[in-house]
Amino acid sequence: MAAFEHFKDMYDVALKPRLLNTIIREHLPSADHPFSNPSELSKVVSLIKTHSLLSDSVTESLDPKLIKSLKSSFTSWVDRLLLLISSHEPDKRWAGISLLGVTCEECSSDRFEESYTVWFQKLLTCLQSPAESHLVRVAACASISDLLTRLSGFPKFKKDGSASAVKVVQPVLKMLHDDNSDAVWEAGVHVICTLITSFPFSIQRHYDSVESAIAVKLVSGGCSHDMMKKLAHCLALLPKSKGDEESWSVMMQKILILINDQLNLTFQGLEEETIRKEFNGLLILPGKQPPPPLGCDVSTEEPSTNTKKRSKQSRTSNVSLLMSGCCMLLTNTYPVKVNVPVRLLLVLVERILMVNGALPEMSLPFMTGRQQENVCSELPVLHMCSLELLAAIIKATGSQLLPHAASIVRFITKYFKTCALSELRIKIYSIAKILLISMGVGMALCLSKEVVNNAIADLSTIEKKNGGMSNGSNTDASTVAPLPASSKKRKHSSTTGSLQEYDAGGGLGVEVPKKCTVAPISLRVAALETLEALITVAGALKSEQWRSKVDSLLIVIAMDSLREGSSSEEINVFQKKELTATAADLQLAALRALLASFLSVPRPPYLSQGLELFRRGKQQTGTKLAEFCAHAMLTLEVLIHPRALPLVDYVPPNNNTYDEVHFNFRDECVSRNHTTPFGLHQTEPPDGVNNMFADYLANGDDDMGGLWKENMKDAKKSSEMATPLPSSADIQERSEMVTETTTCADVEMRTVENETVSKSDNPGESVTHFQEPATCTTSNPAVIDIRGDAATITEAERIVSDSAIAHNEAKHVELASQSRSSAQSSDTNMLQQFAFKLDYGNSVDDDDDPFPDIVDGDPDSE
Amino acid sequence: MDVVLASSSVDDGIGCWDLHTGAEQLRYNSCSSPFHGLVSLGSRFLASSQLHHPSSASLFFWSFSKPQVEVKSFPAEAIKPLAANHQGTYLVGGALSGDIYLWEVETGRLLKKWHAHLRAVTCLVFSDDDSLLISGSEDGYVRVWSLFSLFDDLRSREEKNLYEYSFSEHTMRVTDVVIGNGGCNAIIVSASDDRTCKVWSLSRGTLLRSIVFPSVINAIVLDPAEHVFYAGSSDGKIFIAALNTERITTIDNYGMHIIGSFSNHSKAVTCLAYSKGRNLLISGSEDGIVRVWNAKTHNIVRMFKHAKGPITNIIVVRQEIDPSNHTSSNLQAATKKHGSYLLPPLEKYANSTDSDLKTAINLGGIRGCMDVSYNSSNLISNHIKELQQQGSATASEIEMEKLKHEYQRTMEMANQWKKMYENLHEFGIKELLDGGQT
Repeated sequence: MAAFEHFKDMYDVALKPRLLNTIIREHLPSADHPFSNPSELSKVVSLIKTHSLLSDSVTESLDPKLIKSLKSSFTSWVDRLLLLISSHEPDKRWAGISLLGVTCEECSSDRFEESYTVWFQKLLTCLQSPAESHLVRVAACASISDLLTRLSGFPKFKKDGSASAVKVVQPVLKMLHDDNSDAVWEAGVHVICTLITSFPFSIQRHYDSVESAIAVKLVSGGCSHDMMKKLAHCLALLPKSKGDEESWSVMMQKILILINDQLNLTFQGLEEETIRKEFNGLLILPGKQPPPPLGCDVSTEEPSTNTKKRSKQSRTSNVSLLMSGCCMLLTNTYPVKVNVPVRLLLVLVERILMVNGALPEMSLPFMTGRQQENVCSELPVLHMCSLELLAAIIKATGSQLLPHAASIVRFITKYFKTCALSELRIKIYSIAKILLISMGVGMALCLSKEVVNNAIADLSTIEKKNGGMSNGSNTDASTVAPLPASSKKRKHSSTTGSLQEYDAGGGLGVEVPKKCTVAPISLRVAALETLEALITVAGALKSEQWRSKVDSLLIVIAMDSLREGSSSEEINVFQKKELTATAADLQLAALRALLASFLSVPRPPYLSQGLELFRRGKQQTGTKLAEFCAHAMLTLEVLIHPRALPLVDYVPPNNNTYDEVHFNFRDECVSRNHTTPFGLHQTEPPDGVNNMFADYLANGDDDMGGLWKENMKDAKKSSEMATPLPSSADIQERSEMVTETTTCADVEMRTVENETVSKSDNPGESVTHFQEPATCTTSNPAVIDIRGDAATITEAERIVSDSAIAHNEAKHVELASQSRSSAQSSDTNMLQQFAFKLDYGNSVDDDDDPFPDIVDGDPDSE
Repeated sequence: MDVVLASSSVDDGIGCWDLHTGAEQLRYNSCSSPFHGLVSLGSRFLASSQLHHPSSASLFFWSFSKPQVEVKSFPAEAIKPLAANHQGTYLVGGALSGDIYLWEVETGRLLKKWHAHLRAVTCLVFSDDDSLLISGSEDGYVRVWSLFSLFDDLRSREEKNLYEYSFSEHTMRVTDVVIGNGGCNAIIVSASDDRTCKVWSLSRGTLLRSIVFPSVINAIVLDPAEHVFYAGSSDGKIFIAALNTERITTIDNYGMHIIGSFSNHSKAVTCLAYSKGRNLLISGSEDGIVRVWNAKTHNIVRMFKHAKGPITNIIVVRQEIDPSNHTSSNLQAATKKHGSYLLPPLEKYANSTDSDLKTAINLGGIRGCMDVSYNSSNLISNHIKELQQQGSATASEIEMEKLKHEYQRTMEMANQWKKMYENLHEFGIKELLDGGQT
């Protein structure tokens, strides 16, 4: 070979054969040289993978010489591997087998198609020979499973592949039977899983023996937890090999029966008979034969004796594994529809969650403290897996959960109240989150109270750190006091505008139960995420009870978390235990929840503080937080500059004529119980109206005034459009319009009255609205369109009759409740004024007019 | 492939056209449906309530691949409007008595039946997250139901009203109800015989806007971005009414919030649909013709002649590119294995709780691709780690194997030497003996 034969650069194909040859020459062991350093192999693998030395695809454009050298280098690579495999030394065989596995993964399709049969035979003989060392067997298993995985990607070799796969099953089963070491089992189980997913037919004939082999191992225990998980996974995959509904159900039932047996033993004397009986009744339906126990009938005796021998600890760990098997059955894909015993599974979950280790009165004499201790030590694990099972059920059933959703919510809320371990709480938060997102608004209405109460309890630790609170009234972490909605606090919260005030005040009026311990960050993150989900799903629907509390809580948490981030050492001191969640996660979760809270209401109360937080977060370059904050700023921009006119423009119809007419009609139509005759009080008037009205009165000559002028033009224009009639009719028409305007005004006044009355009930809201009187570009959709009407009315009244304004409110209410006649009586007066108003509008006339009509003419009234 | 399906109140079957090419597809036989009486169940089946059996109420199912009626069910009373959730797992029907029935499609079980209105239910629609159901009735009420609460037996016993909201502002029969996007902040638009359309806020439960039209609105459909909605009126016009437009410019002299209209109908517009994929507005008319409009220009793009009688329903369904190939091959495979793949007929009455033990669930089996994972390269690095660890089980095992091998070789060598020695010995003795003899 010419020493100075250069190639272009590192992307040149010519590099590949040269590099491969070098690897073969220098890094691979050969038949006669001893295999000194196994770590060389890792270099080989990484070189092969990064330069994809084996996977070149030969294209026409390549130089034929190059093609030849590619081919020859690959051939010599494979030859060397095969040579190694047939060597006598185990480590060389191991190297050869493993590298052949890598070759199966990496080589180009053409080459794989060409020579996979040879490779398969080689690997199979390695698997079958009884005298092999563990290492070689494990490697052979891995390589053969890689080969089969690759093979399953070629549809044309489906038949051939199945035929080869069948040959693997027996040796693997034999190997599992003879050998008991974890490594071999792991490799064997991996092969079986590959067979089930890639060539399901191959395993069908051996279904029972595979099941029994795995079940025996699983029940007898005695291997690592990871291994057990894999076994459970394999067991859950097994029905796929048959792929029919029946085998799935049977597998599920077998597992559940086993769980039931073990739970009966474990929970003896700890649980109520009723739920156990319910479970048993559902497990084996009356008149039906229970399936043979898990594992084959032949081996029934053996595991059952094993079960008795084993200690209680392993029994509960077994239950948890079996339950994770159930989860996998539910979450793995399956080719056909299956009948999931949802009710039964839910009863199982409930049954486990209801046991808290307390002894019922009657079983006190039958249980020693030691026994109780044993059970209690294992209970958290059991609870954890039953919650996981619950999550799997929810995930699997999706929308079909509906008939069962209510019962789930019921026991979740029950469990939420008692659950105190943070791991379990995190899990239950995540379940609540899944439920909220998947079941939507309806679920949120039910779950909101529980989620909010618990989240506030878990997040309340901030309160303590602010130093504003004394430790005097510590309550237990598990007890959640109901939140008093004190109006004083609310008022405080709404007037608080700045960070400083918040600092001094020790929170924005969030009344939360104090805890002596700081909830772990991961728990707080979970609580925040669940709140976020709640707000996302139903932040605006019937959320009055909790909305303001949550809003202020979130801004506090967000501010606090950003501050926490700056002093991360401090965090590390007392959060040593936590490996999963860090302060950064908390920041992210807090800001995410904050964004959701901003977006779900038309007019977020803490927008300015929030914007500041997002701006600060964005500066933390290179973090997830910065990415998110950039996104948040973009999203909020739409909130600040709404791109369309808000929709709300409705003034309740109180044109008496209209309502009377139709009310009569309706009475004829159907008789029904009206809470109020006109349906007027049922629908709250949009609350922006009154504020706008007040705002307008407060500063009449700013841009509101300008707006009003334009509206006046509108009024004129519309009235002109609506009245192209001769004068007699004109007057009639106008009088009608005036009637309407007056009544509108009445409503305005009346709602003002309502507001003042309700202010004592609910001052927080109204104060919030009045908080920024100067800013007229409010983001409340209730306001802007209303403005047209409100302004006009006011002005009309001003110009027209001072008496209207001079009237006290009581009189107006009276006026409103009067019938049409009263409105008519003032018609003449009003009419004149209205005409004047129109003239006025005329004089300031302008030609183009971007604003909509504002007088809501009602052609339907007759 | 977006297809448009139309049914009529006279028995002309269900017409089916490809929106893109305009080609007529299968025509599903024997269907005469009332308004809002045609739904697709998760784009696998069609369901329609039937008019032509005045005495016995009936509901028909078609599978998308066959023109014949696959399943006929006969509910306890006449059902007119139907609605299905997006996945097609539940079917709700509104009865003449004002009751609403909720069936599980897969099993045909009647899961729930409740008294919703005093008069007949006229239209039903699911919210976009499928958790709320909105019903309109002849008595003018529009009611919002949370399905979740309906199934909560304990709570429903406690509370007087099952509904979340009851909107009473319409004075006459509600003709159509639609709901927009936006979860709990969505808007509901309802049309009524009282010549108004009303826009409601779901989050606040209040009336946002009431729009008075010159004539009765039979059907409404929302623009996907919810800038406007289209209202098909009984005088043949389709009005455009403003929801969230930036500028409201009243072109015609119709009244507030109506920003335009277009028409090519001689007779009343009876139903409307919107194809989101292609931005087309589809209208059905009393004269039996389905017209497809470009939603931007308001020009007619296509016309399909369907029936002699008025069109009562139009739905747009997205079908797989080649329905005979992909989905149905799976279905056929399933059918071969497990007998016929048919939906059971809907139950008349709610059964005992016995049957709700199991739920037939599709565990995503049709999802084709699976994650391919290769193991051996990981295994190599694991093993290398183990081998490098002096004294680890693997290393010692390999060492042992090596030693065994060595031992074997040495033994062989020793044997060889031994044999050589013996040979030599023999040779020596032979020589000696031979020497002695001579």
